Amino acid sequence: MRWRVARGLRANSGLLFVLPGLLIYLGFIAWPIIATFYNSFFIWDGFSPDREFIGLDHYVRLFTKDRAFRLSIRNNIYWAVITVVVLSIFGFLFAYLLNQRIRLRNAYRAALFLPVTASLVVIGFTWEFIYQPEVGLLSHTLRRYGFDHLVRVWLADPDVTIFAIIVVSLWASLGFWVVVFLAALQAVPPDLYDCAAVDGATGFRQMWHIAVPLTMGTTRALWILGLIRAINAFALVFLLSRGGPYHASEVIAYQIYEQAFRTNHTGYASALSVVLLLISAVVTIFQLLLLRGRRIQL
Amino acid sequence: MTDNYRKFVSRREFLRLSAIATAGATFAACAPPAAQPEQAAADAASAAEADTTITLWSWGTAMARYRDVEGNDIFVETLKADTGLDLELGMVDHPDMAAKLKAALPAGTGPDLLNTDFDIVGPFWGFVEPLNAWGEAEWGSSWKEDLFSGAALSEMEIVANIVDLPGESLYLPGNMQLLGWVYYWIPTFEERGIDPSTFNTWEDFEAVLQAFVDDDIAPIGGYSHPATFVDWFKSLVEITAPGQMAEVQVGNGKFTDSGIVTAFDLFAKVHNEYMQEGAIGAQDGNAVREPFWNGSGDRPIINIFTGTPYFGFLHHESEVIRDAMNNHVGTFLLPGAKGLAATDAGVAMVAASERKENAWEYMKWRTLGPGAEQIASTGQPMGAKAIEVPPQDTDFDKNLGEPLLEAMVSGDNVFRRVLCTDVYQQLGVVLPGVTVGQITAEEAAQEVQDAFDQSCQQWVKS
Repeated sequence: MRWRVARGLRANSGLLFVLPGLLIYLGFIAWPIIATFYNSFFIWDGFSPDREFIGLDHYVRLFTKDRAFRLSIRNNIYWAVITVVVLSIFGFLFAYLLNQRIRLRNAYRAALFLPVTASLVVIGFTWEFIYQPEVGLLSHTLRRYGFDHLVRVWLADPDVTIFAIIVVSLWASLGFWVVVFLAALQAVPPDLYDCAAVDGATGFRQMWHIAVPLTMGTTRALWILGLIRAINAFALVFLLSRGGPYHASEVIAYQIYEQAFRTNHTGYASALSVVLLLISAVVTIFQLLLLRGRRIQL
Repeated sequence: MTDNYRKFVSRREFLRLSAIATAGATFAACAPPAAQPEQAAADAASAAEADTTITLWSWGTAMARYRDVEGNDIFVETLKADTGLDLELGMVDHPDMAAKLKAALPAGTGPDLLNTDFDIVGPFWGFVEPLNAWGEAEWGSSWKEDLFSGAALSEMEIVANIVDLPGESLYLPGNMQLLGWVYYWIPTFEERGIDPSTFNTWEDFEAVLQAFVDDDIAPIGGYSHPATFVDWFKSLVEITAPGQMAEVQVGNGKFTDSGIVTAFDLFAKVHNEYMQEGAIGAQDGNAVREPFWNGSGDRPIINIFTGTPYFGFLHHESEVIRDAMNNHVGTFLLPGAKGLAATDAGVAMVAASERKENAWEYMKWRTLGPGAEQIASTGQPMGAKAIEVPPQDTDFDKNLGEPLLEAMVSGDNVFRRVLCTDVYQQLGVVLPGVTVGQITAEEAAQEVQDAFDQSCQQWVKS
């Protein structure tokens, strides 16, 4: 008997080892996803015992009537495209420059990385001041140098606000991209540059034909990270504009927060969450296809 | 098997160790407590000490009226001295309060007490303690009428009806506010020969505003806050369609009726033409108000409501603001409006609280006792009948105190605020949209009506 118990324990010991992690996964990830999917078929305020089954109505409303959702999708796309493109180009260029032998190189590196260490809340409040329409640093500077026509109500102009927030995101993220690119560039064997120089390749050609291709694995990984961050963007919108004016700077994650916690439309927020999950899944599949068989250099 | 491998714990050893640890922990948990008499006494003393604690969630400006003459915050100390209660104050930004309550109240992790505001507590009345039994035990059956003003009671009745507990009391009214009253800088008006008492119509007021604009002065300071937007809108509805706000919220009419649609356009006009550039997106209210307090003449008018934090400014920590409130600021009701009186902040007891006696003590102190008298001493009218605002012996009494307190008692105190939280939230979204031209007033009104139809039917029932 004792021998059988021991053999059973030995046979199932792998299960015992994974059980704590499995329970946490089921309780805090799998179950909330299932519950969110279930809740999306109901009108429910999130706390009362009464809920009304409405089938797919939330999804129909979302795709046919909800102007805020369309704007959120648009803004998430802006966010993803702009951040990935700009950070790829400038992150790489700054890293390439800081990989050269220049004076005060470490000081420049530290300065670029500094925003990454700051809390997003602090960043939000700081940029809120910078964007102040009357006394803010940006408008004040523009006026001082005669660019009055460029002054905008940065956080309440429907044509400008989302871009103003994306700029903050770029500022806050650039240091991270630079550091990762820098690590990748330092892994490129210096011999390759020497050989290229002997063959007559200029600085730009060396960068284009050696540094860019040899850091492409890192670049792809950063693209995926950038896309995921763009899909989940929330904090800066919350801090700077609360999605306004009239949804102009809303993103999906912020819309979910608004619906779930400020207007108590938990059912509708669940439908939005399901859509966000599907979008994330598509990006993840894209990521898997992109990286299949390739080595990630991070 | 290499030596390196032997350094790791085998599966068998791991399971054995786990079993021993689990058994040990179980024995430890099941062992009887070996408390000594001295220890028990110490525990009891500790428990008694813990019993003086009380937790309250509030937003900052609602707490700003407990300051000493130097402007230092003395709220916690005052409560302790008066009642012996130890307050743990949870400060939550007003716009974030509803979200935080939603997470905490159903989970039973909320505070003992809430500062209430219709705009944010609306969906959560079901989580607060009914107070009739407490009140009757303390003061007798007619306690509400005996203790509180008509304006305060009318709001209490509406809340009770909404929660399907007609006649019940779900909070005690604290300080009161008025809507539709403008604050203006007296010296600037005097220099220009403007006498607000001559404003008979909204057009009279607009002519004055336009005169400022013609002199390159944006006369009104405005800033971006959902409550400010809604307060302005409610005040303007009282000009374009007096009384209609109350009617549409009980099903008599719609937000798309022409009078209310006009209020959307008027809101946009006030923000675009008479407020400083970018008012609709100016998030720092202090920066907006600063030129007003400085009396530079660049911003002779600010806001439209006299609750949080305007009465509180009378005893503000800034000497400049205290001086302004006491000597240079006047007020008038928007011409054409009747004005509104409402509770600015009441106090509710959370039903799940395990310290209800303490909570009740706090409520009495804050709404009827020394805590309420402290607020009144700062120029803030209270819902309690017996507590009057004492004279400040400055020009405040003549310029602000007299007209506002008179309006509080004898004005038109019919309850015409935005009642349903969804309507409130939707107004906060669409009003900036109309102002910056993203949507028309008609579209905005339709969205508000849709929000009402979708989520606010209980108000019709009430």
